[in-house]
Amino acid sequence: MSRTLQVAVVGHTNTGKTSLLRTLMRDTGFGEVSDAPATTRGVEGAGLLADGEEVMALYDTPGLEDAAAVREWLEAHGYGPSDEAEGMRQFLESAEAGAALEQEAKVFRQLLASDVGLYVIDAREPVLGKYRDELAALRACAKPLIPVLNFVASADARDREWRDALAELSLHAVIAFDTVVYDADSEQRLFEKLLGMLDAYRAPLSRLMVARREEAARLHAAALRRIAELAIDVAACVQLVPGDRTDAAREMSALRDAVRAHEQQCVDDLLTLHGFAGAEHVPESLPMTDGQWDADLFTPEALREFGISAGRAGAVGAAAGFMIDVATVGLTLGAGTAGGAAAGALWGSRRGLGRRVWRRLQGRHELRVAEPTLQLLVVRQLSLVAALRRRGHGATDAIRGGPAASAPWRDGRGPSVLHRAQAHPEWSRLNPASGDPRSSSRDAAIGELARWLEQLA
Amino acid sequence: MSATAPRFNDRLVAEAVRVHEDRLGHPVDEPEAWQHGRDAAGDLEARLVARAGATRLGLRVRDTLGRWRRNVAVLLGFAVLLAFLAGVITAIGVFGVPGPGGGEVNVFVVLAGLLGLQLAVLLVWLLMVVLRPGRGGGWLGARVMGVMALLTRRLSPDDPRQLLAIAAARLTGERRLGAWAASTLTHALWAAFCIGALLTCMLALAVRQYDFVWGTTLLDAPHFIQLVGWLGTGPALLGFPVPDEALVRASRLGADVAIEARRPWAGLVLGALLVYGLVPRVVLGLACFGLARRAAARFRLDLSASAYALAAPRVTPAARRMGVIDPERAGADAATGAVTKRVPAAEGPVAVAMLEPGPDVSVAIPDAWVSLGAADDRASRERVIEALRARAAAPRVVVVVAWLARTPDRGARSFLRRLRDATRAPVWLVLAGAGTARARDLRVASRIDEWARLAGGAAIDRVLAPQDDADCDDLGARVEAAFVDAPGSGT
Repeated sequence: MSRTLQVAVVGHTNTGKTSLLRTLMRDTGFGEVSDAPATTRGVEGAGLLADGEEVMALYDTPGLEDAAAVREWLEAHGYGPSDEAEGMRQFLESAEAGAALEQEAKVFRQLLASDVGLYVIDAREPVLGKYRDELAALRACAKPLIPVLNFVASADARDREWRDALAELSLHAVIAFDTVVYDADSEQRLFEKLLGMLDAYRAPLSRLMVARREEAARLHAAALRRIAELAIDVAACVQLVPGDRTDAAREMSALRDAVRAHEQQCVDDLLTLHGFAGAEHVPESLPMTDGQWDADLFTPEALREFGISAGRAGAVGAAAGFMIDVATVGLTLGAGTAGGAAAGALWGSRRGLGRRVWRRLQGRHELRVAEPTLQLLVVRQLSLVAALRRRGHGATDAIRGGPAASAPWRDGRGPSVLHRAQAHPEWSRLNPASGDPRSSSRDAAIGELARWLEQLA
Repeated sequence: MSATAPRFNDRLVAEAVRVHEDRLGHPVDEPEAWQHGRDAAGDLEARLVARAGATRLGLRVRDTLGRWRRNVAVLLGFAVLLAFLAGVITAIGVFGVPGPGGGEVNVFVVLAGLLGLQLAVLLVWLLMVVLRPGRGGGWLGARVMGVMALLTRRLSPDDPRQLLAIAAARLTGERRLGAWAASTLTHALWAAFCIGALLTCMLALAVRQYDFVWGTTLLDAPHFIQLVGWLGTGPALLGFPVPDEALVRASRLGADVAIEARRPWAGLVLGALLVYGLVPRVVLGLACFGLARRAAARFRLDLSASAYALAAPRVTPAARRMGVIDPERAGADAATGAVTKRVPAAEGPVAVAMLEPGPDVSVAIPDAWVSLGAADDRASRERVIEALRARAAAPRVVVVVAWLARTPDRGARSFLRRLRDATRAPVWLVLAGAGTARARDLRVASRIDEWARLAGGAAIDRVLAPQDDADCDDLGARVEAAFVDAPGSGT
């Protein structure tokens, strides 16, 4: 195959053609998108790549606004259903195609130069007569046409109506592909439909589908791993407090700042991973503004937002979100470690116990992030990933119905690896002076937690 | 895949760079390295490896790795030499320090001294391989790596030596690579030991004269004879002369020295050393080497690691922008010249036309108004214009109802223009259905602006837009209210 598959994306103005390209390209910066007519006025091209090799060329065209006038021209110049294609070529040469109907001419010219057209439909709109005129004009180009129903996730989508109307025009290979609420399966179906229609391009399209599937799997694994890294870093993080001080406000404030910054780094990474580099693309269904969580991590409101009970560690005021381990050889385990599993973890690790005793002898306590806050950290990031996975790159507005988030585990019943992490300060990148955080056991712990999260997700 | 498929060392370098980036929290940003990754042929891993290798840190790590490999080669040479010398010393030891010409040696002491320890160690190794496949054999290698990581801990965090040690410790844990590599080393050292011992024995037996004897206090002689028979099977197959039963009996301690037994006994010792010492080590060493090679060749980086995952889209973008192919021509939107606004007559019926109505929107039309019909597709638009033309007297005003849920387009504009040309009456555009538009999350205010702009292009005399958020679709009242306003003033 010397020539890559050429696909023209056509449709009425303001139906989301550029959004479709953005989502297929994973590129939020392509073209210009707005809820207004004629945002795209030139034809802009994009190549879809599989393993760095171009396998499909997509062309974003201006919206059709007056296709009826093109039909009129054809009829006025005596072209009927039998010689429409020739008539269309004549039209593109005409004076009108360079003036009032220039936008339409660009669309038809691009469709004629392509192997197939994707006809993008705003499924919230009824099947108006002007759309029928448009389809009739497009069919004059005698190119295969695949209707793409956009905005199908909307409550007032009329996809049934559209399918019936398109079937009447013997356009049966209809695809529902919401560029706002994107999901990987509908993208695969879109490529499948193309494949079914264009057998000559079977090999490149199959490669593209495989590449996209692998990409999705890799992305999900990487996202979970990133969250696991954050959780291990925070769970293993410890701040030493002199024993003669009971308030420890300075240490708490330092720890709080470090954990907040670490969470923000994770959010940034997750956004970058999913191709939403800028904060303006953050799903509005999430309690987030400018790529930052609205509620502070260390407030009870933030816990409640995700249905996590503050539990027994629910200290209020300055100490919220922390546990101070004033362990005296395991007789008192501190408020936060009162859970059975946490105590077990403490007893189970001689190393941890020994260290605590040593610190106690030195007159110092350990300050840690409490378990409910850890839960919140995990569930917030998981909900972000869930929202990012279901969001098209063309979306500029809010999506309805965010992911239902709840506490990922009951207090003290979390993954054992998080409790083990408390005995491994060297696992945390937040502990500056603690050994080599890249020990192989840290990797194993992150892997274990990521697998645990996968079952959860 | 291609000739540029990464090798184990390339992956090791990439892993060392990843350790650094992991610590850093973000990928090292070097444009040439990214470009290098994008230009590399092959799959994602190959590109990531190429990119990591092209960073400045990657180049330093590669240099360090090259130095290490040379140092390790020298060290290994020393180790092999030491093992060889150990074999020589052991052989000298078991043959004792006899008189000037030779003397009597116990054949079982010789064999046990030369083969006993290494056969016991070999047995342990085999047991480890079978019983603890995850760790067996790799213990030594893992410890060496651990010590290496410990030694490099005091180095600066971005020192390539430290990064390389950590990366190597991690990678050798994968796919038993470290286990097989360590096993290869172990077998190689024992093979060197055997060669040393064998050469020393040959030398000693060639230039000195030994009488091999055996003896027992507790055990029966036939057991020894049987044992010698078994031991001799292997060497005999290779053509070594071995003592037969009569010679073995004749060599018992206390019997007259059987001169003719010297050569067969020497053959048995040399043959046993070769068959039970050197050959198994060489065979197993080659096998472990092959397994280590295979493990290294099959090894793949874990691309779900954050540093790789973050770098992936930058070396294998999902798409490429081609830029604008067919650009917009400046001034394509033809503007209409100044048009005098028409003022409604004092009397007359109101004519009304629906522009692109659909089942999703509706509006109540006052009974007194004259309906021109709905304008949607080409044919119906013609019908509306004909209906207006067909009227003998011009209506007081022509009201066109458009819905805010619809995107204004040039098709609508040209229809409105033609409608206005078909009459002398003013044409008013009434925008309805703000509720439907809002339900779709559309920005109603900007939609009103777009319709107003379109109306301007079509020389529409007045636009009646709903007040901000009020969803007043009472058409009659809105138009009546507009008559009361200063005539001709557009919204």
